[in-house]
Amino acid sequence: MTTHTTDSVAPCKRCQEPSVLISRSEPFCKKCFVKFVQYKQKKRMEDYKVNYTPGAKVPDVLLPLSFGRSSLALLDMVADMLRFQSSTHGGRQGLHLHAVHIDETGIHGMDGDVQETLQNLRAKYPECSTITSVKLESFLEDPSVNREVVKIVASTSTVSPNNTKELLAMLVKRTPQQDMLNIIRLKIIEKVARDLNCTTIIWGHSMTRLAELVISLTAKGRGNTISDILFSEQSEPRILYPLNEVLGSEVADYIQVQSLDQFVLSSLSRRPATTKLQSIDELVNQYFVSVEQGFPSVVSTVVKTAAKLAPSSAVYESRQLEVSTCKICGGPAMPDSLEWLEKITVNFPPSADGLQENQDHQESKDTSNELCYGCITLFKDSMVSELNWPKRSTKEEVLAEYSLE
Amino acid sequence: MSDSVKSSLRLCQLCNAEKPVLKRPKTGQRLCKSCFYYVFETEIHNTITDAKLFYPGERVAIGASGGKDSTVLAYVLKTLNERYNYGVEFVLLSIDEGIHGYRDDSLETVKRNKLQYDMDLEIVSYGDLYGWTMDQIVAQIGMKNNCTYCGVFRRQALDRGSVKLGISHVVTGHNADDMAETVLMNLLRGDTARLDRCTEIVTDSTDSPVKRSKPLKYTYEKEIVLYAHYKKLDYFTTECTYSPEAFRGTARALIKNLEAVRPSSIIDVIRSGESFVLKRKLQDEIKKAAAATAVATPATAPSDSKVINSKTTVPMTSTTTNTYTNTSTTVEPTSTTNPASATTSTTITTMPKSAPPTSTHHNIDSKGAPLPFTTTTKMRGRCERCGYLSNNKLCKACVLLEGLNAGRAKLDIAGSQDVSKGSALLSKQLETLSF
Repeated sequence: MTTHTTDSVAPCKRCQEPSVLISRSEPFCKKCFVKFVQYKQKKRMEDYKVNYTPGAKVPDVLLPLSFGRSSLALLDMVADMLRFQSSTHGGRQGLHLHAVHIDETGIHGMDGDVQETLQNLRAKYPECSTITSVKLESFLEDPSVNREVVKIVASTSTVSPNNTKELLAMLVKRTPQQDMLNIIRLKIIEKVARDLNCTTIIWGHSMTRLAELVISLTAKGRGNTISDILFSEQSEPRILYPLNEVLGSEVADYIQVQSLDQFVLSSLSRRPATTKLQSIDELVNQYFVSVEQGFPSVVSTVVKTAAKLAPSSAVYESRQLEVSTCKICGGPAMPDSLEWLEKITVNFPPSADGLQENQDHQESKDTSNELCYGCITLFKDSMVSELNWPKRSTKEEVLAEYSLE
Repeated sequence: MSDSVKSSLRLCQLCNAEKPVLKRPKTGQRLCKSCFYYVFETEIHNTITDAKLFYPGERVAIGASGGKDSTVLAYVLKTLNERYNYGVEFVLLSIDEGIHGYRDDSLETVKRNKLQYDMDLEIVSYGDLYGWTMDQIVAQIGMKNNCTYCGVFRRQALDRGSVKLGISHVVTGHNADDMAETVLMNLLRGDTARLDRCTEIVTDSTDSPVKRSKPLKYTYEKEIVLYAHYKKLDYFTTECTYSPEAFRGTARALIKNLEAVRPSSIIDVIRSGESFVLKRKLQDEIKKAAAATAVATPATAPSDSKVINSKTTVPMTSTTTNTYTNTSTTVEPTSTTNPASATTSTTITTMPKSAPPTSTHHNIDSKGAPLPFTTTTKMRGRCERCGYLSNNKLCKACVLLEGLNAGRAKLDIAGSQDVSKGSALLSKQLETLSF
């Protein structure tokens, strides 16, 4: 854990200069801390050294920029790396960096001006080949983008969504909305990567964020994709998390010591105060914030453990399972998902007369066969909206909540 | 029109006929009693048949604590056994940890259950087995880590109790909430050894003569509470007075919150847990498969012998609802009478009725009864001192006992009279004081 001890007398352990902060129980001066964090990023990106081979193509690398702390910190580090490469190798660079921001102001407000911030970043980081933004709405406007989402959302309702905002509104609850938003963001980033011929995507996720993703993917029934999403070794384009060994608190410290606070923007769609109204991602985020204090090693334990999981494609191949591609998220869709769910959540009455129910049953089967378990859950969740769930389960509370007598 | 909609809203969402009495925690549906009982029991039946948990003539011990989970388990198994003719004989097996004010009361409940459900009951006590009750252990080692002792001792006590009864299968009342909690705990604690196996319905170490299974693994804790309440089942509610570790509490709180925002979260976590495969294990699997294809012809198809489940071993002809069970199984119900399909299932269908379907256990005798844990057999992988399963010279229980016994001398000198009374009882009595 990191604590600021500006008045601390302990000198930086590495250079004996006065320290400005403590990270992993070691006092750091500003310079050594920046070096320490940047070293972790450079180590993950050592394939992107300056290449002197004649005719070698400099790879294009895409950095999705949310204006959150992690992606800004990564932008700063990679720009610094490029500056260093350029100065020591006579103007040569190991990669062309493209930063892209998904402009979501059509869905929710931001606490600062997106275009102005982009302008300021272009001025600050001339090493960057491009710093651009793309509207979230482009997802539906672009015919090349998967329109299955609209089709399936429309099939669950009497109206068809006309734009992204309506589509999200139809998902009713915060968790499916955020899930869908994440899926849309990923699809946009993939498309931008294709358009810019980027062979690599580098994400700003810190180790803390990765741990959160491991748990929230598990909680959303997407545990089979943990390895594919977070630890993929052979994807096209290549996916990297250069800050995967940097703690969330260290990213925050980095932003502060590098004076990047002015560029940090956040969504005006705030986390609801009531636990019940929060999304699964928000709950898991809160969990790590609270658990890290008592059990600081949890974050790295979760990431290290999850890294031992096998990629889903290897599992399915070895077990000779036929798996299709989910029409929504593009992940692996096991053919047994719905059957499994229906066996342990029986949805018809004891007698065979439940015509109405059987019909519903059939309907859901038609679309859900082409969806992965996580996306089936996403839609099931969004269709049940008016319920209240208890937090604890003593007999009295359960009865008070559920008994109608 | 609006009136009819209104009135239909007041009816059970499954049968549209009865007045609903509860909101189903798993789905939020308003259900009448009989529909709730039906879905609750059928889901457990599906779990049992899908995993081929029992075979006709099998004797199975129910690990019974007197709490809601094991009481509901005993009741539902009795009900399903009669409804679907499993042909299984169930016996109650209880462990007396020796915790005054907790276990002695709950054992009274189990004794009543024995009469209510007409099942035999066997009680194995830590005191008899190890010479130490939990109260005595806590008196010696304090309130920290005592769950370790209790856990290690209970595992062995259940196995030994089962062996004593000549039974090689124990079912326990672990519910879906427990399973989900375990999946998250294994991730949070980095327990890779258990990460990919913790959701398996049957835990079955190859050298153990006793297998464990969890028929309630997909059953929500809240639904167990509701089922027990509406069925007016007799169970004991107090939690163990020796508190569990703090870290597990954080995982439990997270599960509760997840369930609050998305009721399906509990089964979603289990679904994720079931999909976890370790890279290391997958490599072994691939190597093994490669070796198998290299040696023999690939005639040995993967064990897709779904025939053994409900269709063959569990006759369901006497039920009115069998159309709903396993509707999507690839094997048609007629396959048992169809000689053409017998090729895949000869080993199963021709097996004598009383033998277990898999007799690969070298620790099970020809009648399917487990071999006892003794030091006389001098088997590999056994504890030198007590004969229990162990990869080391001494099993975990014997190691713990060694530590306890070394400390006993000191305790005797101190000559405390209150040791047998137990600090759990003491704190329970203190709780009732009003000043």
